[in-house]
Amino acid sequence: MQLALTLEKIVKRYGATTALGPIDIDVRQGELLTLLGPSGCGKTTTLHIIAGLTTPTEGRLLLNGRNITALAPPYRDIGLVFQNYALFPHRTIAENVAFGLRMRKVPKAEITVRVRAILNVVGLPNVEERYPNQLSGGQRQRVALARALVIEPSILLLDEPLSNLDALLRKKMRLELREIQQRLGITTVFVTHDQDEAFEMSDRVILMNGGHIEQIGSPEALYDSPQTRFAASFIGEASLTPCTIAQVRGDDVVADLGGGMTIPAKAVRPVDGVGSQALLMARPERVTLSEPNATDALPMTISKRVFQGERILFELTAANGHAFQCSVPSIEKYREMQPGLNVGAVLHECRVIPGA
Amino acid sequence: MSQQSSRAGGLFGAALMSPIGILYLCFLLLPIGFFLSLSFFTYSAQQMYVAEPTLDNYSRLIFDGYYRRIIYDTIRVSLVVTVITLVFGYALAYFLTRVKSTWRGIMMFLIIAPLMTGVIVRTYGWIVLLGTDGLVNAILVWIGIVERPISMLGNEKTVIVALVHIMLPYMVFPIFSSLVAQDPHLVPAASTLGAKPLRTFFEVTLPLSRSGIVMGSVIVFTMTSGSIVTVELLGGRDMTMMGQLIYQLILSTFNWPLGAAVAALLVLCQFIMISYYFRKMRRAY
Repeated sequence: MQLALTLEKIVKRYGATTALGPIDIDVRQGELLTLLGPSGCGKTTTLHIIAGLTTPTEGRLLLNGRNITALAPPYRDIGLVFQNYALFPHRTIAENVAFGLRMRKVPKAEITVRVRAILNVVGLPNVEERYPNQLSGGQRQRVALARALVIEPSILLLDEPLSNLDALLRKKMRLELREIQQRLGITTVFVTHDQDEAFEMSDRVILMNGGHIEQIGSPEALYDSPQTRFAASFIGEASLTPCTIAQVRGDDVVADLGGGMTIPAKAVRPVDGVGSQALLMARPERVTLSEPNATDALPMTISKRVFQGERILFELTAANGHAFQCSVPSIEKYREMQPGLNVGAVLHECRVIPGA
Repeated sequence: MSQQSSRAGGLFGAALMSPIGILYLCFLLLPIGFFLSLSFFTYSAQQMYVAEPTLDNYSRLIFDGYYRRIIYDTIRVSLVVTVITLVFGYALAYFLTRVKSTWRGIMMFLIIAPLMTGVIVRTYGWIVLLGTDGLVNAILVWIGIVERPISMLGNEKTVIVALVHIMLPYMVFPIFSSLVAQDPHLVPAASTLGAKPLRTFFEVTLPLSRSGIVMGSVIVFTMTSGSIVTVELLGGRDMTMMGQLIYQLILSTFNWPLGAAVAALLVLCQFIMISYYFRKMRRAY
């Protein structure tokens, strides 16, 4: 796998406080890599370091094998889309998009052709003569994207580009951004705090927290096998319960939750052996409900019911006091279930996170 | 419906505006109108003016070398002061956007400070500094740059320096506010697109601060062209600007029609300047 960009032991300190790192990131050629995390996790700092807007205290940056750590932004060959788009308000759309080409001294005739072509790629023909304030948020977003893409940078950086759009448009733009990225095959680093965006758009996701990397993997791997408590709680909904390992066979384990309650699960990495402490993760949509006395089912009581439209969320309480969330489709069978009802719950595909 | 409410809003707005409007009409527009209309009357040594329509006052201003010189000097000095103030003021305003907020407060105070002293006191301050017994001469002599005190008062350069000094805050603040109003991401955006700092300044920062430049320049030009005390006290005998001329004609020579004509020309100059600037400021975005 060819690497487009490498971050080696990058650290950013402000005075005595370490804001970031040390982190190591490899960005593969042509992939869309997402930096995901809560605000203050260091994802934007990382992006700004890649763009050259922030200087790392330590570490090296390699772009296509070239050390760019000391290079100022104008010399980096990077396209950056800002969260607020940062279009030049005094320039027309065509002038905005042409800006990077003019700086590169591309001949005028070629600029015209390339500006028109890229505006077509982002689906915005016929706006060349307008000014940014005459466009809608979604259109401005596309212009910002076009302005970053037209210089054909080695790498495209997107800093929460969808967060200023309304919910409906955001969903549409996710797919469209991904489609454009794949069509152009451009290596992209995408920053977001929205895991839905990360899941739908990314080849790989880097989960960040408190200035360090929590986990790197495909969206599926992050969802299925979170390696830490933070990863398990930040990504998706999950019921996290402390447990003791009762049996081990390979990565198949049995978790003891106390009060005679045992649940088969898969360990996300090798456990320390029988008797060790771990965290059991149960995803709400993997819990099925049946009769209280059904075989394999754990007896539980519905303690809360939240109607969400297409789904219904139940909170279940076991005899030993542990609570689990259960999300079921909004169908008649489940609609009638009310708090206080005794049910049997089967927790499928549980995960055990050792030592967490 | 919306039309009705907007009409009601217009009426309401007019009602709100009427007290200040009446005040301005009675105590500003009418007196000025009356005074400027004097410029078309004929001067009379006995009655000050008689109501005989004439253009003599204007033709005298335009064809008499003495007056023409004053008008020319006024415009020239005002332009020079405006340009110098613009260069210094822009640099200062730009610097202000870069310093930490605590320093910014202190610096802003220092910039406004000259406005807190009266014009007479301030001008005498310059005389104390620049006079033959003044501080600057004492230092120059002490260092040995000059052998004996040099004359720094009574010339145009000193007037320009003093005017730039007092006009600076009027230039700095409009420019400063047009700079801080800019999206802070525009400069990094330009730099990632390949623009070096100087290029970014001329392509992005400067054009986007145009409204501040225009505002500051209009204020400085208008105030400079009408200044009296600074020119009178520091400019010496050879230098006269239109403000002084009006003062002399109205209060010493009692030639109100001619004074009114000078005033009318001054207002005209300022009006031309302002409308030129505002046309420059009009923008498509």
